[in-house]
Amino acid sequence: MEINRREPEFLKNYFVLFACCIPVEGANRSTICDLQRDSFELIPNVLYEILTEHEGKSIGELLEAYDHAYDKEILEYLEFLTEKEYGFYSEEPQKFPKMDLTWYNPFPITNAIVDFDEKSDHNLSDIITQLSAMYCPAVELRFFHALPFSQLTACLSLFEDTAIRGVQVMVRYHPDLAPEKLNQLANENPRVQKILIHDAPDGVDDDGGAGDKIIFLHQEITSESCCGQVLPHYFTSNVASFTEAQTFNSCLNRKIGIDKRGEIKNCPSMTKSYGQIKTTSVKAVSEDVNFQRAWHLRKDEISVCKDCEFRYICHDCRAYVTNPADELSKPAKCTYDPYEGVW
Amino acid sequence: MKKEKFLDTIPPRQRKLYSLNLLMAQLKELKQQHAAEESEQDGALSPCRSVPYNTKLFFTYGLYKPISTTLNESIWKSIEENRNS
Repeated sequence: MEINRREPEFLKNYFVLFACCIPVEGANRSTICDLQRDSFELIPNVLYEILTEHEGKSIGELLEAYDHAYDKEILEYLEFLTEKEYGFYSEEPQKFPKMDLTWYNPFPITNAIVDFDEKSDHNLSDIITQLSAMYCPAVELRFFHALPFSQLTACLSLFEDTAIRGVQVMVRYHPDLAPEKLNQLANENPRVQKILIHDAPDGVDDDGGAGDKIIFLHQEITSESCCGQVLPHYFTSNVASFTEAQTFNSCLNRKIGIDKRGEIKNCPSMTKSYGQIKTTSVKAVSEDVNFQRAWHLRKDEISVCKDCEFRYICHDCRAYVTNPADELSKPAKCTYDPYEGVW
Repeated sequence: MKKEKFLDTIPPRQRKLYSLNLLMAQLKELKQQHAAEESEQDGALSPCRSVPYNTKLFFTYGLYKPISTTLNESIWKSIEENRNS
């Protein structure tokens, strides 16, 4: 039976967004971040206003708030949101409380990047032992130089019997890194999320033998300076990342970076070192109040980002910023203009 | 590279508890492996995901966000082209 949206009974209803669908206002437009489906929807700012400023009003009261001048448009907006499963009508909105946006995480360190080049002499085994003792769940290894298969296998074997749950690897192409061998290596190591081979020649995986976890790139990733890209490809719309971004920096919070010279930093691309891994423990650095300061640089405080509708689903970068003298300036590699809504 | 045992980093009085956890984890892993073998025999082994909500958060090995963001727009384009070809 079709609902007559002008019926007095219908107008007593309230429109309720699902708790996991959270509107975020931008300067020019807004988003609804769907934290359950890992997606977002762009909406006009007027719809953000309807959903937030007039929250708690019945449909009838909502239409009246706009002096019935936009009844058709408002009802169409709500219908759009219902069809897209962002919300629903209810006579009892009080029964659907909002999500608690406090970020909880039991790990003192949630992720780490460890860089290497041909001149590196820091001990990966020691680093893994230290990170494991801190229950760090995720590690990314970035080799800017080529590694033969045997060395790559040896590196991954160091993660056995550790608390580290996921490993990502980026390594320069070596003729020994055959797609089938890498695929088997990834399958034998469930911790391995992704192995990205850069500077690979044409046609190295034309038959697709490498599988989903292995990516061959023609492009060369020469150093840590390639990092800091701000792109929709990196957007994450889930409860953990969204709630973290409310209070903490979406990139640096609880991160350890060990650069190719073994310097412990917030990120390998940053200049400030908190000690050399050979002489300083990762735990001591992670507990340093000065080190933790970068964890609290929220998107709501960063120039331009604070007006961006993507600010809670976007991966920040504090290493490459538009004004190096201002730690709260916009990420240098972000081309998005939230005031115009264009990339 | 010399491998150091994670167990060595745990204080001796906590090792019993750790061993119990490890044992339980291994039992679970065996069960999962058995289920996977059965599923493979059926001809289908798909990653755990909820179709109606398209969520992948049940996947326990991945972090909830990118660790680094090294790939630029042109690299992403070439990855997508390769996937589509």
